[in-house]
Amino acid sequence: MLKRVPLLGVALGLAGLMLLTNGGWIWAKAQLAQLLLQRSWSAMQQQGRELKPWPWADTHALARLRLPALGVDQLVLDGDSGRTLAFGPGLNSNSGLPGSSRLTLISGHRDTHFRFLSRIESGMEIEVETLQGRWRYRIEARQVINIDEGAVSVSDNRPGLLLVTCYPFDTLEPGGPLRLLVWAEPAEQALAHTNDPALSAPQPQGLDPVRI
Amino acid sequence: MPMVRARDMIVLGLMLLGSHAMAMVTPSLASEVRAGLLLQTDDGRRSAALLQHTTVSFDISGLLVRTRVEQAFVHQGDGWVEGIYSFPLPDDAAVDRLRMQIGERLIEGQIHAREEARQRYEQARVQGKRASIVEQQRPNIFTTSVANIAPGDRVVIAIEYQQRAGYSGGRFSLRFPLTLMPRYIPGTPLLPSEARIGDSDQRPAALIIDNRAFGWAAATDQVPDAALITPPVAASGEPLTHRVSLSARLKPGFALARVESRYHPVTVTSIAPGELAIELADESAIPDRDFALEWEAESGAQPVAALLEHEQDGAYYGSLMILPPAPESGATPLPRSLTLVLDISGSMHGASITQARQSLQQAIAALRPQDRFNIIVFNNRSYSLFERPLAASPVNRMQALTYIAGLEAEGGTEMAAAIKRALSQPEQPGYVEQLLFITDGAVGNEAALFNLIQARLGRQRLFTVGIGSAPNSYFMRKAAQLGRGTFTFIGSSGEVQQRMEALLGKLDAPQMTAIGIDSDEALELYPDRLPDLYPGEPLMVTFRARQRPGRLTLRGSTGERPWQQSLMLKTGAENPAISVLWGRERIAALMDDYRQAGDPSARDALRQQVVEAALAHHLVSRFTSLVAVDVTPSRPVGELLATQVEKNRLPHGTSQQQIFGLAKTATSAPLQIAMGLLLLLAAWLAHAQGRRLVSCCMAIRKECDHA
Repeated sequence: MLKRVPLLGVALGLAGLMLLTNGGWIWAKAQLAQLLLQRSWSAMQQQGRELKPWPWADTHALARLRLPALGVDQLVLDGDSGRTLAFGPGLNSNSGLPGSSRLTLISGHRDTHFRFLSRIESGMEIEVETLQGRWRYRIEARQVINIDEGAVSVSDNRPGLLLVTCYPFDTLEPGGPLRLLVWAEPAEQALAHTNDPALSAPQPQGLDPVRI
Repeated sequence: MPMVRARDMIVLGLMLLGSHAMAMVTPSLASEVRAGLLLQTDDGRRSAALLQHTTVSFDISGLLVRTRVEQAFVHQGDGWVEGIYSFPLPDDAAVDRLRMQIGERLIEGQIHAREEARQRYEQARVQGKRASIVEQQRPNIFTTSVANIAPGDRVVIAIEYQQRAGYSGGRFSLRFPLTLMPRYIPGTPLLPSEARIGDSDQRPAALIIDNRAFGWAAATDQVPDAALITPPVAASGEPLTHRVSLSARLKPGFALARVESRYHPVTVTSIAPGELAIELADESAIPDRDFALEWEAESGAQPVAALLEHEQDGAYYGSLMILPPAPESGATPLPRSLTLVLDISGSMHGASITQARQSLQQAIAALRPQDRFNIIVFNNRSYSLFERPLAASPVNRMQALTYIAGLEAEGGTEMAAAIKRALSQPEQPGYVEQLLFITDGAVGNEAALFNLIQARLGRQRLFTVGIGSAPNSYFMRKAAQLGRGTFTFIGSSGEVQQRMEALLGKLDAPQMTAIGIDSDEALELYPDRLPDLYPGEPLMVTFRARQRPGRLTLRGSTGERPWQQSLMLKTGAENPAISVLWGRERIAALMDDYRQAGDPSARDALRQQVVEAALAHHLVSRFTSLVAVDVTPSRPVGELLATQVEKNRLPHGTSQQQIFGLAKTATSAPLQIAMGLLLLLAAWLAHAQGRRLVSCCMAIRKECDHA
């Protein structure tokens, strides 16, 4: 009789702890996976072929995405299914890699890998490195769309980088219809594949301030 | 060592999280939608839908079905419009009639070669005459265009077709699709100059008509006519006025035990001896799923043979149905190697994947210890559970069931890779090799897939299971035919058990192979390659001869045992539809050859033969269309004509976001953490409150004791 009442508290407490660990795992996994991916990426660059980052992975690293101004350095995975996005930003499989004639569409979770999109400004430089070389982009525009009302064409033959994440950034509930699209234009021709990490970044020049 | 252990821990953690994430996050694929980088919505000035109502009436007499589909276009807005509507029909529909009704006037459609029909229509369109055309994009996708509809006009387009009812396992069936599952378009987009609409062969641009490219998908190297098979789809929640009513007259020709509509409530009334009227209970139903009617004879009254005939232009046309006697079962079936191939693309999301999972579970449960099996799933890529088929041991089965439970439907439909993977598994000598292909068939590159199946089948057999509210019946039937298996439809969870039982029974049973027909007359007989027969399935053939053959001999073998049956053809039931059916079968056979022909001149010759057969029987085909043109112009010179493309509804139980749209880019972590904190707070409160509650109770009890 006396013990029944505290049980409620214990049950609630346990449920709370479970949810906390679940949520924490999601974030921890996002970080851990990137570590493993960094290692497989170095190996991939040496061997010049695709390698699985961990034995049972159903995806692999495709490119390295860097935004020096915000200290972002992430590995982009093949595909943008939920299973993949848990480990890193993913390249939409209907879009193309940098260097192809097609749009490069990369999605990432707003609360893990693509959190940094809340801090971008136009003119910032993005570098994407693939096994084939390095490409530079400059952020030109951003826009919020409602996916219930329209969609993004990835069949356009327009090279460029489109980063996508959920919007707004500080909502708790996942699965909303709003997406933030960040459009980056190719900055120049592909850089030769060197190991020199330094970028000869030209200063952003007179761009319109971004609007949402 | 400690290093290794730490790594193992990380790995284990990732593993646990991996399976966890699969359950928590429902992802999606960004698929291509019309041009424009940041396409927001349609152009805003979109007028109300033209297509108001479709009325479908079936006239079923024995095995033959005559169907009339009336599409009512009502223009309530301003200005002159052209309406375009793409819609599905059964994949074996022989469309032979088009009638355009404007007010009291009726204009009969004429059959012409596709380009010529198109030119006539375009000419009338420019001249301001009312005109309509019905074109075939796939055997089960047609497009109606109606030009010069005036404000306030009501134009009814009536299309009629001939078809044979399905008959398998003692059950007759009729399936009518009411909407199109959006097709996945594989391949690399073509530049506009490379895109050719209408055909994948190298013909010059007679078929390229820009304003016909109404679809949401751009042409790709694998599906050059993508724009013609991807009509716009209504957004979820978007109100569409289009409704449908269906009715059927059923004269089965035998005593009925049962008649049933699978997915729509109907009323059934007896209107004459041996004749029933069936009607949808809802007079204006929402067209978002296939209509399926089934009827069965009383036991003992099942027909085992039927001959229908028609004489026309000095030729005899016959259609024969014969149900061979069931072979006595006794021999223990051979062990089999069963590969289950499952479509986990975005269009399978929702009810479909649930039904597919249940079907797989049932197939696995039916495996015997001596069997082998494997599972292959695909969306943008394909994955297999085992590298090759493994023994159906309890451990392997358990692993398979766990695998199935974790599957989510998301992403594209790269079916070719999955078919290649499934058909190029290591050979399993001593086993009957069977493939169960579970999909909705929502792809646009059917021809390439059929060629692939044909090239790689070897001694394997492929059975298709069409899942969902609007499966692509053309894919199901043709893939099974080329795979020398059978096709099954499962449209609801309630159907899984019965349908899978029937199918698994077929997998076990010895089929009748090497079937041939001999006759005292020379026969032009279709299908030209007779299928193998599974128990309960009749042989259905259509033939043309100089006169009625006196005798037909059917031969075949069951297992190693040869089998033969002779039939005296004395008299058949006269029906003028038989020549139409024969024409349709001939076109199907020619299109099979056309699909495989690589050489342009061979293709041209086949195309010509298709056109000839279609013109002779007044049939719509890939290369012929029906066109109806009014005599007098109605739109004054100088008035503009707008084009409006009617939308299809998304099939029942599917999710738009899983088919179109961007990836889901938020995790549930913030929500979970917030909820977790809230619960902890609640726990603390409960604890504190609990104490107070307890002391309160104690106090009350004390009071009571006192009392």
